[in-house]
Amino acid sequence: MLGGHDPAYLRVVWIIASAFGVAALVVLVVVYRRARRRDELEEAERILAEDDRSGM
Amino acid sequence: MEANRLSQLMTLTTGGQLAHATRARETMIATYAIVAGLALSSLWGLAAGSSSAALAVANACKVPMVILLSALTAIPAGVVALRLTGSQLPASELVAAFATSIFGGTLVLATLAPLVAIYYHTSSKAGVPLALGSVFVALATATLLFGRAVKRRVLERGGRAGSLAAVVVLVALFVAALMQYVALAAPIIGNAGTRFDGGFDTVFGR
Repeated sequence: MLGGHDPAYLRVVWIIASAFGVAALVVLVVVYRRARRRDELEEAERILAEDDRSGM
Repeated sequence: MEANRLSQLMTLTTGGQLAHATRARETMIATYAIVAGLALSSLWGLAAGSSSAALAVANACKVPMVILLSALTAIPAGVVALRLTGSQLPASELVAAFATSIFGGTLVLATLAPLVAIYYHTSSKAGVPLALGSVFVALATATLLFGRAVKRRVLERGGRAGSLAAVVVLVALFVAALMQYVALAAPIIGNAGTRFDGGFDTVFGR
């Protein structure tokens, strides 16, 4: 009986809050994939730049 | 590749620095930290709910969700506090430090999970207090890790230690939100319930 609300109401609040959580998880996955792609690109550029410097 | 990422995450969590740290890599490690932390907290949820199969399965989803929602509730206030203190620390670094500290805290929860589970089934006196105690130990660990990570980043930039106010705000809001989400998701620890199942009203009520 949180805040005087009945269990059915609290269940709905929990479901809505969980929906936000699931949406946040989806956003996290998208952010992770984008960051990984960018990191791989930057790592390749760094290796190429090091290779160029050592070749000189 | 995953082992390498985990190793980088452990380096950051223990106060070290990444080799060739870029913003993309830090973002990647921070998101990885959150997801790994949620998986670790799920293990603790299984242990804390092991008195019944249904509670254990429910806890495996509820505990990570409670942590994620508490973090989502607290982060905006932490970022606002960071800006108001005039810190030079970017918000992304505050959030990254928060993510690694959540990983550190949930790592403590997961390592204590077997102990929680065995006491649950073998002691009528120590089971629930031990489960609650493991949560407080994890919270204290995460707070210390967060404070240390932010302090290091602030000092690296020659900023003011006053920015640590953002840490206090973030941790306070995280705990306040956690208390209510735990109440909303109750029961988590045992079928009999705890004082925390009633949220703020029962914790601070007479």
